[in-house]
Amino acid sequence: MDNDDFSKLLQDESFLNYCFSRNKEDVGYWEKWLQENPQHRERVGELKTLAIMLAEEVMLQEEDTAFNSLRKQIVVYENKKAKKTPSATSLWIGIAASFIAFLLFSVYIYLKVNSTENQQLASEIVHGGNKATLSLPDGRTIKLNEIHGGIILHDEHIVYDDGSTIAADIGRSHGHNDREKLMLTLTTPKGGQYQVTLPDGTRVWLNSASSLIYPVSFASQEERRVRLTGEGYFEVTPDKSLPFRVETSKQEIQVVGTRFNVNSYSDEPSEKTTLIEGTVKVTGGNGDKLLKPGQMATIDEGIQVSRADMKSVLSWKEGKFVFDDETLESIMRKIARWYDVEVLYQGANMQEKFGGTVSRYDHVSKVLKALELTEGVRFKIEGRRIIVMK
Amino acid sequence: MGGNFKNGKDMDVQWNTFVQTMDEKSYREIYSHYYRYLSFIGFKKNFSPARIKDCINDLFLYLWENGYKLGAVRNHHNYIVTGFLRKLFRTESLDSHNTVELEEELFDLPITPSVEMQVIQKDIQSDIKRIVKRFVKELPVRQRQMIYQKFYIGLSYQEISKANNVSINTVYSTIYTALDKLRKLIGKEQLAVLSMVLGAIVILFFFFLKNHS
Repeated sequence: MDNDDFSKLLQDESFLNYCFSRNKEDVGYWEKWLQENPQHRERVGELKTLAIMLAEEVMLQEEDTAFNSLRKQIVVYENKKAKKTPSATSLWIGIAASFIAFLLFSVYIYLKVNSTENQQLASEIVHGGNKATLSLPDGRTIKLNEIHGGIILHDEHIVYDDGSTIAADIGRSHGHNDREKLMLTLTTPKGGQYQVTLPDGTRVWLNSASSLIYPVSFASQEERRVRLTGEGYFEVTPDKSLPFRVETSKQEIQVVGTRFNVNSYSDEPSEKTTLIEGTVKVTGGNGDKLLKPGQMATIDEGIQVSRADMKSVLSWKEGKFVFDDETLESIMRKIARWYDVEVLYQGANMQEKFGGTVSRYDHVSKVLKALELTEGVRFKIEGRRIIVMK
Repeated sequence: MGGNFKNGKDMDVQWNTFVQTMDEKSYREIYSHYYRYLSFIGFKKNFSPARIKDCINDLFLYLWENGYKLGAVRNHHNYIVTGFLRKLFRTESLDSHNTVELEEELFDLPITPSVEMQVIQKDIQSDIKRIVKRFVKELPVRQRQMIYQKFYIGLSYQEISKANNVSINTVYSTIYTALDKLRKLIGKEQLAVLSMVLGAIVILFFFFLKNHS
């Protein structure tokens, strides 16, 4: 047994090219050689395994080392950021500068608004934004601030994303032991969207015309249960001891720790649940299905699983409309919810299909123009009403 | 994970999560994914390992500092690759046209080893994997870098000598030293299967010599 040869073969360029399928000649050469010497196939295979494993391990280690070096740089940056506190003088300068900038900006806006080209675009229809209301257990309903986009519930206080208080001690007014049964409801109107963080850290994003009913606390419960109407994107904190369940009008989704999107609008023909990461069990229709990442369950009378087009399913959350071979009817329903408009059909073919991507923050006329470019449809805007024609 | 790194579709969810929430886990996943691809590009363009690592890390530091502003980036893959190439070539004049050309020149990275693993026997796999992991962890940086360049990236001995600015003989001997260490580690464990492999190498070696001289 000559140990020198072991190292030699792994150093040989043509053999390595064969192991990693890098060029046809070397792969061809070695495969032909193996055909002529089949008794060595297993042994060569093992050497190939070794080479491949070595390649992967060394890459992981290189990447890890490089990232650790980057992490150190990030720590330095974060520390510098924390140390930057403005002095009194610079604070006043900052305020003065902002004020002047604000004046200039107002003048600019005033001039722009009065220019003739803008008169044409002026319309009452405005795109959606961060609108929602929150109902508390004691009966109060709070309209949430549009500057913030999310709320966090912890320890029975509700705060905005930046920590400012919305309501404190919501369990207090009832003063008895089953506080866990107290529920909150977050509702978005047409043209609204909002995000909420639940007591266990789970985050939920709500699309327009949707609502989420959830308890004040998950403590001493056997499960984490919430109820959704409309559309929501979930990022559930993993907790094997406490399963997370989402209930909609047609389905129940059981979750351990994952990311998924649920579309359960009552004016859509079926409800759709799409899994991005993790595992969920969807019960609805007349049975239940276990989803894998990248799959979507469609629930109407029955329940079916198919591959999802992730881009279009999650597009709302990224501020876009991505239409993927979608009927005009379905597209107009999405537009109606986000822009809070009414849709009337006059002769247009509702089943005609369209595809494309457009920003949700564009003016509705721009979105409609994009559809018009296909020459399959025409639109007219009258106040808050959109008329769809052939 | 497949071998096609060209469009970055794999990282869509992570990019969006990172940009909206500055999530560390997503950031790390994006880094892992692009480290391989960008270092591959860098090596194929004959840059040194130090330079490549610095450019990748500078780029990602920038992404970390400005993540929350990047929501408007339409194509994160092009954004990252263009950013990297700009730093690498130290030029601001790289437009998207150049990037596409540059990318098309480059081969796809070979299919990552994990895919091929499934075909191989389980017993051998776990034992060898353990040895290889330990071996790589204890490898001195220089040797590890060259093994990375030879085995994972697939550079020729000539290319490695240029990229690391050493003689080709230094490359041969550095790689030999590392592989020899690995051989000894495996020998120590006395795996029956690999001992058979070593025995068969004699035949392979002579045959190889015979056909390549």
